[in-house]
Amino acid sequence: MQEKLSEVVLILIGSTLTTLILATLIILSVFIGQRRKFRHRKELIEMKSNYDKEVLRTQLETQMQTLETISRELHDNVGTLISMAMVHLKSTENTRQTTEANQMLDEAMEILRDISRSINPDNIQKRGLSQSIRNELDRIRKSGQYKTNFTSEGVEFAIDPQNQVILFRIIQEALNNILKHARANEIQISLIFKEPKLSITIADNGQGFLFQPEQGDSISHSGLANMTKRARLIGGSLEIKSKLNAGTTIEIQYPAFITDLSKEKYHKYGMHKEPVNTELTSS
Amino acid sequence: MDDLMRYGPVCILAITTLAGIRVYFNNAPQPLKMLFHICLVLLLIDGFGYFISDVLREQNKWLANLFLIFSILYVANIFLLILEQEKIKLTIQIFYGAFIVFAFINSLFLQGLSGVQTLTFVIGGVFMIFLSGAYFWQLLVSPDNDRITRDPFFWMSFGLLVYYAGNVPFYGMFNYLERNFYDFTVFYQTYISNAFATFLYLLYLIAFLCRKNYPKSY
Repeated sequence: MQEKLSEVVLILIGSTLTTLILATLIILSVFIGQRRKFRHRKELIEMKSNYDKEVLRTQLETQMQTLETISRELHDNVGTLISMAMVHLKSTENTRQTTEANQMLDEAMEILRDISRSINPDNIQKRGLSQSIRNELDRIRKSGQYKTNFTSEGVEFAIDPQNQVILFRIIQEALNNILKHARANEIQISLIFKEPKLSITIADNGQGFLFQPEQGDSISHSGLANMTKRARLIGGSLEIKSKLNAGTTIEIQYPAFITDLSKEKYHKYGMHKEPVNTELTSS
Repeated sequence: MDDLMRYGPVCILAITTLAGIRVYFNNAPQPLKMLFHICLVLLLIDGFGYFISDVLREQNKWLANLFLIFSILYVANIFLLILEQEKIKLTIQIFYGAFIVFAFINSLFLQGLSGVQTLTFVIGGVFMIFLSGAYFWQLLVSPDNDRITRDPFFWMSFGLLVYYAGNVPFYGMFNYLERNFYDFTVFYQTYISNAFATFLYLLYLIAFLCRKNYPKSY
């Protein structure tokens, strides 16, 4: 009887263990499969993100080249034509009309130079971000419809030249939106250099708009979406705060450490500056 | 130790049922509510079963047999709701009819209600293993990005798979074992079989607690 019991126990334990091992294998395969699925999905997301970044970078490069060409054409061709027209006018008899025409051409030439500088990426890289923003605000202020205010705090550190152009384009886009939609009369831009981070704030006192990301609002407007994408492309982030009739504030955070710029390069670009706390208010 | 192993599973089941109450107030999906129903009924049946055997000192195998038929059909119904493949759904529907007929014939003409219905247990248990496997397969091929550890039905299937995989060989031989090796059968049922039951109820408990909230579309 005892011998029979041990055989029965053996059969029972053997069959139970076999089915349990099979069950364990099934469960393990589900876990492994799930892990593979996650890894595959992660790879797909990464690939898509890299592809999007590449497309955006190409778009930006194309845009930069186009703007550079336009800037050169404006400066070399249209600028030369205006200069020649001014020379011709000066050589003719000096009447009230020719003097007025001369003044208008002078003004046109100045606007042309401003636009040319503003859109030329080389110019932005040469002047640096702060100066380019100042010039841009100056250009807006000259229209006589806006009060502009620019502040910069902290020690201005070097920013990768390409990223600098992208940051400037984001600011330009923001300013363009203010001019087109905000119905504002005051624009304020502030830069805070706090190594390794640069914070940029662009604020206006315009009509604002309804935007509540915490309640599920997403950036659907292509201009705003573009700005966000550009900020992400350079490793930064962009936040929009707006309320109806209370203006709009755009905050850009740019982590400068990813630019891989060493201090040597920093000096090479000729952008090393003493601590700056400047304020430029124009009206 | 004997008492702990004998009443331990019921205590865990009571805790699981208590935890299951929250699914009613948490927008939980219908199949999870059904899992709570089965826990509640099982708790009542277990309590009643212990009352019959320990207080009235009478056999309660008929109750276990009836509940076995009911629970297999009810759990199959949960799988009918959570599985998406049409062929499996059809298989469940066919099983439903066939199992009811078989259980009826088995109860009346073959094994009766006084002994353990080993055939019912083996057929039902193997089908539960099949359905758990089918759910795992569904999880494996599903394009959803949810973590399986946050899926209550993963835990339910996990528990059922281990419970039936561990118990089918024993309950398949139960009547033979009880007749010839009574002490061993009591020992195995008290320690091994109840350990599987405890594991099942613990996984039901995880199923109830693995998610804080359920989206409306869940």
